[in-house]
Amino acid sequence: MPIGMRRQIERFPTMRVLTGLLAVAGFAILCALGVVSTASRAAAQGCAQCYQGAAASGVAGRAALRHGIFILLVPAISLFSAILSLIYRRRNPVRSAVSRFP
Amino acid sequence: MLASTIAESIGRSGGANGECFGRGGGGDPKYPASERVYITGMLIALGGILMFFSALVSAWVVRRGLPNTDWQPIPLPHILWLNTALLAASGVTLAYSRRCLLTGREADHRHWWSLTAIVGIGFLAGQLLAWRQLVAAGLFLATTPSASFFYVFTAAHALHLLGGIAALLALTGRLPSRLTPETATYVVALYWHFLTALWLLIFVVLLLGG
Repeated sequence: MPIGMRRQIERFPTMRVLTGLLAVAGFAILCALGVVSTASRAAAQGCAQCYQGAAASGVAGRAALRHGIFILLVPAISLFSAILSLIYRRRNPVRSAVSRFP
Repeated sequence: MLASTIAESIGRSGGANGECFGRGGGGDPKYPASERVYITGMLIALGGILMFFSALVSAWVVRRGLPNTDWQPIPLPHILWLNTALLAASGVTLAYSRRCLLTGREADHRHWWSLTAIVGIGFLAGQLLAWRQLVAAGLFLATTPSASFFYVFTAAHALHLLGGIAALLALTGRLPSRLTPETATYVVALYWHFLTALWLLIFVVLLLGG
């Protein structure tokens, strides 16, 4: 990001939060895509009863289960991404302060 | 409003300076490092509440989507629209109250803060009226799955909001000695705006699914 744009963003806390939220959302979407793309390999291997129940619920039931799992996934990954992002940004407060006020 | 409140927190707690965990020192003298732990605690609590309601919404989606079930949409009471407007208005009054506090208008701050608590109580009264309307229509907790979800959603949210009203009323009287007014009101405002946004989400869910 250009330095001028970065300074403009840092001047306004709301913009800083919005850009941070966008970064977190992007990371969360990437995580979600990674989980979803590898989910078929898991194939409900943990519980045969759950697998049979999901298989017997028909197309609509399976879609409902997928949506329900996805809804559970979104806040969990968002919180994880937010905490990870916070830790990463606060990893070295002294260096950040020096680079901000040279 | 929630974004601006979080932004205010980051701006006041040092933001990129790395002072959020109280390591850096400095920052706004009105917002001492020893008090930031309350904000961190509140943010963690909000994460837990978010997960709780996400689990409820997920259960609602699965239960509603399962085929050959007894899911029947219920007519939502019209008073929910008024309640939603009340809660949104309370968010505005709360934000204005904090602005009055930060600009040194103590009397205005107390006035708008009390008004927020009153509007919040009005919201809860409206929710009670909505429940009474449903009961009058013969829809009880165990009548249909959609009615059960309606009662669970609204009751869980109302219980959380009751905590917010208690905090508002507590700060109307005497401020805690270990907190500055800015921090105390900020933590309560964060919680209140979160519950407002949460109610909007719940209301949309109820509108979509009935």
